[in-house]
Amino acid sequence: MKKLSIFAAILFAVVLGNNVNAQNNNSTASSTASAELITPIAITNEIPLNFGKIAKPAGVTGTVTITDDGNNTATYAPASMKTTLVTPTAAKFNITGDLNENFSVAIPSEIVLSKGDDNMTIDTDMNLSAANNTLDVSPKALYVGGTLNMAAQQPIGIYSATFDVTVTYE
Amino acid sequence: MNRKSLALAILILLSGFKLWSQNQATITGQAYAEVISALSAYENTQMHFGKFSPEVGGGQIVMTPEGVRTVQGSIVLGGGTAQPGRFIINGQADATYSIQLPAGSAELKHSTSNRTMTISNWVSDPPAGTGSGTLNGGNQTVSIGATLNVGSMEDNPVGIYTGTYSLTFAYN
Repeated sequence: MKKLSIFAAILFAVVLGNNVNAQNNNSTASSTASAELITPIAITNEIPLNFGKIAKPAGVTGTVTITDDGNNTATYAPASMKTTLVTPTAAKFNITGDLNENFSVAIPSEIVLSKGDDNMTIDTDMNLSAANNTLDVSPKALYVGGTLNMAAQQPIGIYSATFDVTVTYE
Repeated sequence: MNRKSLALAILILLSGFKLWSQNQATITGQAYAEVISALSAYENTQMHFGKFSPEVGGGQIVMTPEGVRTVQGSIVLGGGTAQPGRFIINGQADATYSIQLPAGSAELKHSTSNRTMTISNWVSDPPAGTGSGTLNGGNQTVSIGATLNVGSMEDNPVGIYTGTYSLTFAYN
């Protein structure tokens, strides 16, 4: 059999499943096939991970933590770093696909924010597990929060970075 | 291999498997943080109710944030310096901040006795509250007024009375 006809046979089996009909009337095996075509997994980004505006700590290191539970609770140490000029947000992603399928999520454990030659590191957290998540709803929300680490003499300015999130059917 | 047996082999291979036209997806997210200057404040001028005489029954001296004094009771104002408290706030340009005035009264003590007066009814310009101050150009002056409660001549003998009070400024 030529390659072209093999490919055609695969597609045929997938699309028609058990309903293989007279056009290719092979009664031998059609009843045992259980191929299932499911919706592709997809992910979109709704909200960025934004630590907002942070008052520079006076000569000491500082941390800002944003929860990954969707409540956007921010904790500042020392507390004097807190401002409410910009509401901090955990990143929010929406994962879609077939209900009840399992999937894994990969995010970087660290994100390095930069402003020119100056950097700050975020140790990331997420509300889902790295593996064995179930799409019990679609879209399913993925929140990425984390802890931002500031140096004692962190220069003022806007720091930014991008990071990749990958979801995979298991 | 004939056509039938190949089709059978394919179907057996497919049995129990799921097919994804796409089983993985990746997206790029953004992360941000802005570090801004710490908020600082210092007293530029001290609050001073100036010279006055309580006369018979004392009363009150009201000092506005603009430095205008008015009296209630038998008090007679004298000359000399009278000024509101003034504080310079420094921080991130154009950021807003809150101003919190003392919750209670401040006590002024006589320099040579245990006699006291109190200051209450704090007011400020810009007014107290969340986000009421704005650091145009990175700084702002906050003026503080209040009311001085004065007793009789017997309660508050001649002399200098001093005390302290606390204000809180914060980014929010």
